[in-house]
Amino acid sequence: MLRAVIWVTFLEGIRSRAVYGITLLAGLMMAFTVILCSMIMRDVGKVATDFTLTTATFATLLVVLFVGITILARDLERKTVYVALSRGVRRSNYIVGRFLGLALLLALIVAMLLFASLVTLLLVKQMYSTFFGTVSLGLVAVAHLFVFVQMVLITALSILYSLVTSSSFITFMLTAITWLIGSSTQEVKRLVESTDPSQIAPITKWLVTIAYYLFPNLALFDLKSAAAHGLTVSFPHLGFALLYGLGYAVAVLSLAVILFKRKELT
Amino acid sequence: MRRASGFIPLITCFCAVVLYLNMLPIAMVERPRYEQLFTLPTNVLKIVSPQFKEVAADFAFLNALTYLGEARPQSDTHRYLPQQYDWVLSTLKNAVALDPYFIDPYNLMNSALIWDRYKLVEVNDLIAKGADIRTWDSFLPFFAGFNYYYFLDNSDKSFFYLKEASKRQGGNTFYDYLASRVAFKANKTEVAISYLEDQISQAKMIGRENTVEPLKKRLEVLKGIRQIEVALESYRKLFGKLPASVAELKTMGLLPTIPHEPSGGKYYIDSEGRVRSDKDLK
Repeated sequence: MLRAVIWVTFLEGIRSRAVYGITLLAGLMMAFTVILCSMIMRDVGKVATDFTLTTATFATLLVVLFVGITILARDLERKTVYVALSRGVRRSNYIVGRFLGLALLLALIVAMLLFASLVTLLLVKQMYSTFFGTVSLGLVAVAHLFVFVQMVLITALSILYSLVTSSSFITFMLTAITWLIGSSTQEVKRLVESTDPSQIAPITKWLVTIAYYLFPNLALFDLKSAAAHGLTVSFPHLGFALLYGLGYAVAVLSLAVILFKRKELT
Repeated sequence: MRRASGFIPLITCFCAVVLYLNMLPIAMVERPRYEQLFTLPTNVLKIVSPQFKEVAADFAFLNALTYLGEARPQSDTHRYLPQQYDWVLSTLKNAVALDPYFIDPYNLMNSALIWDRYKLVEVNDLIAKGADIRTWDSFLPFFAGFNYYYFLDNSDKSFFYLKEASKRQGGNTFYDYLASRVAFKANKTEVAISYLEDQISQAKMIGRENTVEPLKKRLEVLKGIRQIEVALESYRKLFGKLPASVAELKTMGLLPTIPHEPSGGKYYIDSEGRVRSDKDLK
């Protein structure tokens, strides 16, 4: 039954018109990268890498927000969840299946984006070989993997939110805000810590610290700079980020399963 | 008649497009100059561009680049207005704060601000910071070293960055040549000699022996200068004044022979008591 839910979710995602729109947008952004590179003085490879990885992050985020949320929240909103549950699908299997189906969809999209990124970068390298700089194509691939981990985590959170709110719009807002906060907490914490304590209210510092530990630190998954400049990234850092992302996702998903089991479906 | 009427929608569309293309620029609100020159504080930019900092840095750089392309310098001074330089500098500062490894903003600072002698110390310190961060790159330490020497008359820092430029990938003997001159200018002839000896032996070790000829020649010149400097110092201690010429040092028995100048020039003592060659290291 789990496999069936995974497969149905994956097919629902693939057939969604939003996926085609997002793929088209990503393709246009990659093509724009090649054009933009002609305006850069020296660090052409770096700018191309920035744009391809930004495209990957942005496109997968759109998939989570417009496809992932729609699939689950619509089920709850329109009560189509009954159809699956009445056919003997366990509630936990339903949530895990939906999650894994979406993860499979994201894996396919990230793989496509990785392919497009590599093609774009190789084209740019061919056109501006002298100015390609120290871009690491290996790290570009690793950066895509971490985009995937990040989006899996966000998907788990969106499932939790949709169970709590039962409204696709509120889930959309909460997921988007979580992504924004999660991407900035590290920077905000650094800023607060580097500022003179007399200039910051203790409550602000307190709130920033809470947000830093409560929300996922998505900056950990951001390897754009490392890939664009060929910087050294330590294996412990990568290993911790991977464990952190997957651990956070599993914890959130477990909470979602518990909530869904106790949820009264009326 | 029916065929002609078929063109009516086409003609209408064409007119609408022409009208739209002409009207839209007229309707565009002209932004005042001070508004165009506004930049967001770096910390705000860092927070509001989550995971897109690098792209934000790219756009900040492109913004400054296109602004310089469009802005016209003053016809009399051939320079931009101070507030225009300020805006370019703060935009480029934002770019390097968002991505400190990005080389193009530093390049633009070097070409657009340093050569117009705008806030030299601040701008070159930023370029030097970039050189410290981009540990593999030889361009930025060269720029920083050159600017410290040429514009800021800081030979110590210049020598440090030129040495860095030579050490790094892409560095060449030209940087060593320049670094030895800077060390000489900073009155550190011994430092210049040991630095060049070190560079020559390293070049030999990595099989770049054919590139060291100019360095060898300069090393010989520096060794000659050093020999005369030692004799000069003894003369000064003995007589409390400067000798009239290098030959006088030989006459007084402080210098066994006048060293050979390999560039074909002659050594001399300038009015400040520094030994120089009239061909190399004037």
